[in-house]
Amino acid sequence: MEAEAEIGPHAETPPAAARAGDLERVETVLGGVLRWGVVASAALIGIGLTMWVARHPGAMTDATALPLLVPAKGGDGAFPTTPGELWTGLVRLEGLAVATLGLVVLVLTPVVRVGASVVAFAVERDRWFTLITLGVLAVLIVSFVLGKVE
Amino acid sequence: MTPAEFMAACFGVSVAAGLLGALLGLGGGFVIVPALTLLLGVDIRYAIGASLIGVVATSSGAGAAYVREHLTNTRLAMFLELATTLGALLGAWLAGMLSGAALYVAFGCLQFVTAGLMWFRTGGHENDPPLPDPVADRLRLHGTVAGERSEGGRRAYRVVRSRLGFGGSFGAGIISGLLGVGGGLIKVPLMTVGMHVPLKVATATSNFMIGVTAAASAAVYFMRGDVDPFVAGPTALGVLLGAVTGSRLLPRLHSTAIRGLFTAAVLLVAVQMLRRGLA
Repeated sequence: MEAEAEIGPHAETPPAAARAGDLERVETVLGGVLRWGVVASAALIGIGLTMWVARHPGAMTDATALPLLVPAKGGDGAFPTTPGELWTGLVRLEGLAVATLGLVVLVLTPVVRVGASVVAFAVERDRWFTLITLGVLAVLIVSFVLGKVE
Repeated sequence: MTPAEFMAACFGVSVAAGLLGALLGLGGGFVIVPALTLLLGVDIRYAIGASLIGVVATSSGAGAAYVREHLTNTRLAMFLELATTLGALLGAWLAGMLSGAALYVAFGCLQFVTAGLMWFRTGGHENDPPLPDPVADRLRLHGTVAGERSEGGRRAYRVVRSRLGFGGSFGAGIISGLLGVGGGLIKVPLMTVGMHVPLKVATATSNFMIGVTAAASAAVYFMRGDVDPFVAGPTALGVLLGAVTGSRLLPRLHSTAIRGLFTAAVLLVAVQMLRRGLA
């Protein structure tokens, strides 16, 4: 008869079978998170850009409008560049703010993925990799904060 | 062209980039940046910002499939990402200080180097004589991969030269943040040739890594105002479509086809980018 997982000072890590099961569960959840994050982001981007096109009839016909949008120099092409501007734009239901939110959600999907890995390694009681993955997560968070400061 | 036509063009180019990227374990940045700058006349800074978004899209779009197939070596990815993300921050910051022309020249040079790397040496090193690597042993970086169709089961592979991999990943990170590529151009050969990882595993692992690296750089570009939704938006949508489609095709593609496809494209781009920067 197989031994159950031991609790107590002699058991350092759960048996291999339990570890594999945990990992599989995490990977399934991970796949789901990725897929939903990507779908949500694509929806927001698509809806946001469509909203902008709908409110700017020249978008389909005016060939001179493009240089003003890319690079954006204010006016019709102005898009949010700070969290504050993003929030204001969303509250006002501006298409470019919605699209930008979609881009932000997309960029967050790898961050969530790393976060899930931290949990998976912690559950496996893998000290080294919990630390390593936490380190990567820390650098990611710092990059968002550093960006804000600029 | 009208704004609508421009966005459609970005979308089209990005579908191709996403497809290619998913098949090669790369972010497609080496297609997106040149296409946006050379074909659509976008300022290189916006092109890089959009490309980084595209890289994340490739990674997350194709990621679910790779996770399902158990090809990704998550430990190796996270170990190397420690170095890559730090490099990415440095690179993204540096990009703010360089001129557009300098970025073009740097991009062109990068392409020559990697075309050479990929053409002359690629996968097939997993059966080389094993080298001792205490770091890889201690961190249990070694993995298993599903055997070829004739074999069945899973066979083990050893990861070697982990310190070289770590250092190389830092460099790959800098280049990613600086030029908007996923860094897969360097990561895949680094893993296959340098660390003796099987090509398919390297591809899947690289796919995971480039998303993390690009996310680190993208944050900096966002706040600098270098992510323009008119460019980055259609790019993200196109890459997602291409990457999701490409990730379903990967298991059926042969290594030789990958090499040929990749090298030809990269050489073409290298020449064009250098011409731009030196003009």
